[in-house]
Amino acid sequence: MVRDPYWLHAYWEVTPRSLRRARESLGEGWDGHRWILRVHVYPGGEPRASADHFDVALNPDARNWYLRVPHPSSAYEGSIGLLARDGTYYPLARSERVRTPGTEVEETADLHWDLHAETEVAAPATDRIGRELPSSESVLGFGASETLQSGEAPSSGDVTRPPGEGDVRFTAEAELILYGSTEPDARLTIQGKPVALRRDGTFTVRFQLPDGLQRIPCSATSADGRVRRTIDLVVERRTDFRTEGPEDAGR
Amino acid sequence: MTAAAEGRSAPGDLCLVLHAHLPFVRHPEHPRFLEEDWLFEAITETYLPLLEALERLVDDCVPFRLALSISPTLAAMLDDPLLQDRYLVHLDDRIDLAAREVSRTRLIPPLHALARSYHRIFRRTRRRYAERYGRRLLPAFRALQETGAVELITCGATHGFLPLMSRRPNTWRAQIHVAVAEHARHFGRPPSGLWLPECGYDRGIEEILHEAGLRYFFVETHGITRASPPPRWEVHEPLRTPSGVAAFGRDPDSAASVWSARDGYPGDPRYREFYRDVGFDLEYGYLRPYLHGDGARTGLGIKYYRITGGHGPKQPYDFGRAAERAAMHAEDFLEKRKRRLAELRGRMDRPPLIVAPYDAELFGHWWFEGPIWIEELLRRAARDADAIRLVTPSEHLGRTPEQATGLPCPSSWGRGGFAEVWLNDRNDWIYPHLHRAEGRLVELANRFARSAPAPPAERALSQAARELLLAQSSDWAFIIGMGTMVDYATGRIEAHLGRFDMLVRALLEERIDERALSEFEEKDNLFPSLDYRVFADRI
Repeated sequence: MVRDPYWLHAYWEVTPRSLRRARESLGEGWDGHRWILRVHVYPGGEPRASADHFDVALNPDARNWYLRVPHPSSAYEGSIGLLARDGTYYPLARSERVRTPGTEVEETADLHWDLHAETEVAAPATDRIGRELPSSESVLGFGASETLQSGEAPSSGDVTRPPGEGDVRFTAEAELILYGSTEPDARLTIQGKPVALRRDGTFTVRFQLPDGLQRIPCSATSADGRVRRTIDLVVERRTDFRTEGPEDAGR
Repeated sequence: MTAAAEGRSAPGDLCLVLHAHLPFVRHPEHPRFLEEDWLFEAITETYLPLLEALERLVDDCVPFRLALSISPTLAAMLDDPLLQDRYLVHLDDRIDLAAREVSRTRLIPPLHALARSYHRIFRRTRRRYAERYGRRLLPAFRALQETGAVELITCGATHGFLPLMSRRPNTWRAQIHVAVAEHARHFGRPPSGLWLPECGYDRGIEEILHEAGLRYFFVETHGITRASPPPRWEVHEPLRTPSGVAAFGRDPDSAASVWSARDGYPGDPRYREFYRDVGFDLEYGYLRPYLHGDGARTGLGIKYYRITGGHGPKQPYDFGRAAERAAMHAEDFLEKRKRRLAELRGRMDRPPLIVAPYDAELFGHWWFEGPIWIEELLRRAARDADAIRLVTPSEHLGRTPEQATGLPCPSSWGRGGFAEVWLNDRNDWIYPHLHRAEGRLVELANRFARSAPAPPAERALSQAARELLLAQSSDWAFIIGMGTMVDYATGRIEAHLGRFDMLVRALLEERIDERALSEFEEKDNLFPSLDYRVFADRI
């Protein structure tokens, strides 16, 4: 498969049967053989008879390979096989011809692409050649997440900064849970706002607690409206921040 | 006014394209399923706000134009009764949480006001979805198409990345023809154009597009600038391929205005911060009823903070100020495009064109204010008809009878510009499996297309085709490549290819288990009219 103008990806599986045949055919040359990926190059895509080729040594356990190729906008054909010590090459599987995209303006038409082997179904990739970006003037990020993450949108907790080198992410928040019970048919207000009771007359309300002094009057009024009881809760939160460590920590 | 006179009066065309797509995620076997939230969040944050914005423009008689691609998997999900029911359950959960938030934030006025806004928004969303649209959004998009303002187009059937498929053109044909048929089924007429999944173009695709009756597609900028031969005005004119189908190239400046990590609009400090969500910020026990079965924290759609910038604490979000900002950004975008078109107009012998395509889900989901930006942009552009003309791709083609000819360069809009996002050391293991299944299905389609298989065999083949198409979604390779929801994506490929193998084996052994077949048909129930023969060779 063509990954980009400079990289191809090949996968294959060789059956024991074809390996046996290779062994028979190579005879004594079998000793000391090496696995190679032989790549025929058709610069500019021209199917000239005498194409250049180069070999890539393979690990015998490899089932796929990323292949750096020299020319964009060119056709390639690969085969994997065994190279005997005397230079005899025994191909085991051959690919279709594939063509890399150009990095500049080009004129010729395309050919197919795919590496085929006698049987397929390969194991997950184990071998890898590093990646390299083609020069492209239009690489503008693929997905929103990528772009936004690298943008001016650090994701930090409320009272901390995004961790810098050696920094530590830390948030601490406080909520106030206010609960109690009254007659199931009473009317309850908290800070003047009506609050629903559970069937048994109990209630739970939670507030995110800001800094400062909070006055939270709670009142229950009997169903007939004749008795009203009030409980005033006063709560204070004070938050201080401290950072210890190297002078620039958390800056 | 004649076409020629009209051509002289406006200095150039702006073609805005939105591509809406989500992979097919539907799990009837579970009562709730985390990944189904992708659809639900996109409905709340993108599809409904977008519909509302566009409908408001129609109501206000604003003469706007927009191309909107709706992928066949997204259309299938929006039209699915099970997912429609589940969306309402999801919304009820959000409404309930927002109501609790109204109470919980009472001591902090700015957050309290925001919580009330969310409560209002979610309730309104529910009303619109259930009552105005009767849970069915596709007819609403179709109605917009009937006004002529919106051109609905399609995409690959399951958003398969075409350049990495084997057994072409058969596999390409299946992705493209199934998409066209589904589009016609949902929207009442065949699409005029197609958004290539991930803008993934390889040579020969244009012939299959032509065969499917399509008139245009889109490629990334270098698909045009490195074409053989490149058109004189590069992305500012369409390129007619030898098959007759036109290729539109993405305008890099329009893309940068939105996508640039440094100065793209969505990074503005007044906009809503995507990553600060109550689902991650609040106390666990309080949130637990709203989380999924595994109890992992997840976004719950209530976000109180704006991006803010700098290193200080995040500031509370302000809907009004953010909306003002979005309007400013729309104005800025429009000014830049007008300036560019004026420059080009001086040099070109035909109306210059700017094609600005974006993922639809960027607007609203990632960039919360995006739908406002689109509405403002369309409104302002319509007011400025002397300087800029909004067009659909078909309109532009109709107005430029003489087109440059050539073949685009193979390309995609992914990182690197080619295939590396979908082919790297994390996800390359997928392809031998996919290619094996592709080869097998093409072979079976050829074999059985000649005979007339018995009804169960016919059904098994078509279901096998559905399973293969689902396994081909570029989303799985993308997710695995990004290292995000790897287990889910891997599981999906394995499940679809597992079902594929079972069906093929049963077919070859002439032992079709109709119960299993019905189960697969119920599970992966999209594309009801799909016929496996679409994978066969054409003589």
